[in-house]
Amino acid sequence: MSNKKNQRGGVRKGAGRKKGSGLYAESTKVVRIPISRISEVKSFLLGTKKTNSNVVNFIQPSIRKPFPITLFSYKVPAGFPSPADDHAESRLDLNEYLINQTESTFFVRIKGDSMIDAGILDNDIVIVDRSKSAAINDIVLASIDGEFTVKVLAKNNKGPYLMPANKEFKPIYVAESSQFEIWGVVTGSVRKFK
Amino acid sequence: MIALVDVNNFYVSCERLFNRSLENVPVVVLSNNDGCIISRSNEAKTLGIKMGMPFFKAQNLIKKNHVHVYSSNYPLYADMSNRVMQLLAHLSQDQEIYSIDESFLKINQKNYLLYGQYIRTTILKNVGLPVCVGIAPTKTLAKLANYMAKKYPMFNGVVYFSETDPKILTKLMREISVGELWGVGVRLKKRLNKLGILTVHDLKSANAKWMKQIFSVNMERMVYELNDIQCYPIESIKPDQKQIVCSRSFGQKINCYEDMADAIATFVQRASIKLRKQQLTAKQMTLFMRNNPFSSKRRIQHFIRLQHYDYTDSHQQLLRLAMHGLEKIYHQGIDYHKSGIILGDLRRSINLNHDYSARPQGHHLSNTIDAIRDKYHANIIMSGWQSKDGKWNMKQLNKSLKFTTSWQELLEAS
Repeated sequence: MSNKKNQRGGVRKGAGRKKGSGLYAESTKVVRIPISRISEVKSFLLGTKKTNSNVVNFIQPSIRKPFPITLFSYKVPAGFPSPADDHAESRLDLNEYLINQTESTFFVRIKGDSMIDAGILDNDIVIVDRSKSAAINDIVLASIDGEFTVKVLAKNNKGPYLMPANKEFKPIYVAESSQFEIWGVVTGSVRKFK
Repeated sequence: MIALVDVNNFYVSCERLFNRSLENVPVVVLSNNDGCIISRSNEAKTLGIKMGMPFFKAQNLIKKNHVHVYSSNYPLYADMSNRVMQLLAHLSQDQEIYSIDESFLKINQKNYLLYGQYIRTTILKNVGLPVCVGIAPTKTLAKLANYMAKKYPMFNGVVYFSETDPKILTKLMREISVGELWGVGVRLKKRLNKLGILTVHDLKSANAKWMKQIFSVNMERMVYELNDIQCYPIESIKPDQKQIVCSRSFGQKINCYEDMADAIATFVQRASIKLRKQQLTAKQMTLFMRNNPFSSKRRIQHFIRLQHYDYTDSHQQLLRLAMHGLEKIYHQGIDYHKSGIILGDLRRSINLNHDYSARPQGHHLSNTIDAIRDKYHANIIMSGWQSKDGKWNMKQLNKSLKFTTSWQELLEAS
């Protein structure tokens, strides 16, 4: 560059930052991004910054939630691949077995012996699904005049009534004046021994 | 079409689901600390109990009419809300959860009125809560339709704007005050009334460009929306929060430093959990405390704005900041009634799961503590400032059980 040009202003030779001396170690370009996502893009860029080091990023396992891992899903980096890999299935989950619709499922603690012949004991937890429609012979959670009870739904020529599963208890016939409703259908029960 | 689904008298309806004897009798639910009435059954509304009324002012009405009173049971309400929202997600193409008990839905159906009834019966049956549905081409109208569905029994809980008799619609819009519209608060209502705009119909027939000049672009949009022109789309992705507030009135007055530190430490814990759940970091904290203006001669309020040196989501760092602030503003000899913290200057935290080093300091320790608390119980790890059952804890005289979130408090049946 000639001295003459230099005297008239303009770009001086060697002025400004060297190419590639910035944050990203290469030349950069101005782009438009939505304001709300600036920090996201910035952090992405910083996170994936090219370096000369050959250290692989540390992987931090999530500790917040148990992550269901499919068995045998890891590839063996060298050697013979696992023959079970093609047959991997997810591990069994009791929630999946017991619950059909999570939004409409409630747990209810049983008090008393009125249902022991149906295998429901004192202190058992029953699973109640509100989305199911009750049919005769279903075990239901009903409310009579504000009291909750779990019984078998039965019917005679006068209409529906509630049948306990224990000979010591009497059937419950619902008086017309009382408030009666079926709150949900009992779809299962659970008990812990230890 | 846009539908607004809203649970009727949400908190009361939750209480009723697990206590069937509350059906058809007046019931109210109180705010934190049993201060004000925040949810009323229709029976309680008829008695003249107003929304937000302080409990002590309604005491006479409540005693005379045997109104059932419940303290708020937020764990239960939150779970019931999640159930409703989950179910609504199945019933729609797109969903914007607007508040704990209302959600905008994008729906596309042949018969909207029928579908509205289907939503209503499904939620009532599967979750057990009564809802009303308003369906219209815009959000503002969907809100209005929902209001009509709730207010006028002739609609049977569902209003579909485009198929309602225009004569009836106009008549109702002439009846309904402009203050009932979505986004019109008390002050805006006063300004509109001064211009002679008293009812929804008045605003609907106003000149949008004018309204923009007098008020703002939002008012212009509201006029458009009332005339079937959509200005606000369904926002299924929530914008980031601007602040996180955690504050409480105390169950009894606090006049000792340790008790106040206990309360503040708990607020910091709750706020920082909220912060991490949303993957945000904060740089600013405001700490405030005040006495009870109703029972003291002089209103005293202390506050301090604190700045952290960097964006953080660490419980420990935020706690240190808060305690530093507390030392500065705490005054001996004042009976404090309420305090709280506000986290501000929020920013999305670095989103890459793999980059260990880029995370703010203390992030992993805080997350580990959260995980342990989730797994066992909330009090298993606490900061040294906190006590197990702080003096500052809420005054809640009649709280129902946590039927759906605690094994110890399940619904019982014989």
